[in-house]
Amino acid sequence: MLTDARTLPDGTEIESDVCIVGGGAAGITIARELSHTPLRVCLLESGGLEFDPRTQALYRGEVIGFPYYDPDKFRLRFFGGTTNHWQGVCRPLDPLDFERRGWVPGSGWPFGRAVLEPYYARAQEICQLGPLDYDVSTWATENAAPFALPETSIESRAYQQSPPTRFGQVYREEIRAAANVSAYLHANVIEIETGSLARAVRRVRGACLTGNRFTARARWYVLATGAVENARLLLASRGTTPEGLGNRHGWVGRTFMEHISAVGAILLPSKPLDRSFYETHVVRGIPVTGHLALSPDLVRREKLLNAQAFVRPYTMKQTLRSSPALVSAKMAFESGTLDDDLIDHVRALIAQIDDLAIQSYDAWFGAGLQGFALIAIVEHAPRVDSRIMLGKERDALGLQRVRVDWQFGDLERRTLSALYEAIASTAGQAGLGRVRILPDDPEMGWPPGVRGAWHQMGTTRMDENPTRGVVNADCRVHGIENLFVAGSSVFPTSGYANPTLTLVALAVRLADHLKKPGV
Amino acid sequence: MCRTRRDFLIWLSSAVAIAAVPAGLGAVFDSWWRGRSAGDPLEEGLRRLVGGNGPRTVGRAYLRTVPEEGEAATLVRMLLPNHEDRSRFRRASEEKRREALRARVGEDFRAGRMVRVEGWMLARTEARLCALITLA
Repeated sequence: MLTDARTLPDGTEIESDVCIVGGGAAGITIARELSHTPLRVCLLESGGLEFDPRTQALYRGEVIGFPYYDPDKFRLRFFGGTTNHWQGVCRPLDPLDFERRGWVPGSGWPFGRAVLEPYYARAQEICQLGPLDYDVSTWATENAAPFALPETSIESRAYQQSPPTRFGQVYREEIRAAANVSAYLHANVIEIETGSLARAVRRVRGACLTGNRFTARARWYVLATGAVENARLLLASRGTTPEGLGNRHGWVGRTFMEHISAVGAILLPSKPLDRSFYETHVVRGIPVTGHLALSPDLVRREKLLNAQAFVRPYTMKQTLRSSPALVSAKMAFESGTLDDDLIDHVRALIAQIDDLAIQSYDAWFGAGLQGFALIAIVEHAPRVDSRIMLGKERDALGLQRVRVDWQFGDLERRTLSALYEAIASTAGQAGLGRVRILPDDPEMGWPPGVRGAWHQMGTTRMDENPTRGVVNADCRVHGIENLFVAGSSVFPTSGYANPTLTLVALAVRLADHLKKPGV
Repeated sequence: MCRTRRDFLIWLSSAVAIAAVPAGLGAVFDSWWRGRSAGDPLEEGLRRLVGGNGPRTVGRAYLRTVPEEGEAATLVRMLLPNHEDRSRFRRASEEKRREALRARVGEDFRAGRMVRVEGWMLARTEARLCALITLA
């Protein structure tokens, strides 16, 4: 059932067994997984079924530290959440990503990749992908073969491409029809209340932008509002704990991670290169896209982070087509709200146009000379100084806005250099061509145009030790018996793969956990 | 496209072979450069990226970073470390010279013997050959 919370009488109390806060990929997945069970499920979604600028404005915040996107631009606040503009690129994290690596402080998940394997298989279906098979040989064809690379430090790998699944559209009717699921739209949660000892959540308090208020009580609560908002809500829930819920050891909001994206090198082929494998191509009905990645051996040997590079024609058109800001602007245009946000959208678009592409393609290569951009995606190490905090300003519902402080450093920089050098070495050995790394001077540091990949993670990190994390391996907040967190905020490390498939797998796993008697 | 690349390698192999007579290299280079056919992406890219005179520019940039290799005789010794190597190279057919250079470049890349010149990640052998051209 879908209910517009604005129609509820002021002071309505909603009762359920499981209260899910947030109707994005994680929240919708958990609600679906719990449908057709004896559990009564309540899903509280801040937005409606379409983009609404007033609701979206609740996401506004400030950015300090390394330049980052405006907090109301990199995510979407309506049913389906940020899947309303995701691009559908999917791949599980690598086994390496789950390991404890001595050179990456804070690395190591409480479990290995094998534990997630069955959930990844179910997540594949939910994200409308093919089978859980990422073996590069499965996706190579006669017309789309990976480069013949020596067995060195670089491997060709594949992503599967979701349509992309717009969770709010694809699963809307299912949620509406589920007898035991009540989804409330325009229902903003503004505080999580606990008993005086903060050992259990007693209820959540909510409000609509129209002014009416409500509360929701449940046996279990699942926070599924995205990596930034999960931290914000916990930090803002200070009724019994001044530092915020689950924040006894100061981890809420910390280790904010975001894949670091850079167009920092160009591959100039010495012979015509067929890069069809590295473009989206369809194999047995499944769209896949190849990429080049650091081998686990090199990562371990050189003590690096994980990293990959897309091989893309170096054109502005291509960059624009894949621009999340363009997608957001298109949605705003389609919903008739572009005028209100025009300047912001244009600014975001300009920020995303690859100035390197504009300058370099024309000035350096000219007509008829084909180069390829090596678009790097580098794992972001969990750093305590990279964090989400509460700002001073408040939103229309009285909640403090977020302050985003994105920080990264030498390890990420060294990994980017190693990635490009490894590709240069491999390309040289394989006779593919030569690589030019930008900037010319390694002392100049990061290449121009380095930015986040719109993948926020890690603000409520998972660690079995309560002094080192916010949630345990079951995604339950340490010290609070009935509060769980879903989404990429629980990732202890980020790998390089887009987080959606993993967060959906974790959501399925959490739903299974909640189904167990005596949780 | 391949022809120019091949020509370049032929010329480079000749350059190594006759490096003992640097005075002749300029003419060889100019002849190669004027006579090249357009379209080889690597050579054209080098030319565009580092100036109108790609290999020379790369060579100059390399020598700025490694001034101790700033003499043709030194570079020849680096490329062909002993007398036997030089003799064998001189006696070899052009095809063999090309193969030897290609193999050497491949070995450099495999062993991580790369140098960063004007942003380009080149095999050290390539950079030394460009430097040799510069000194011609």
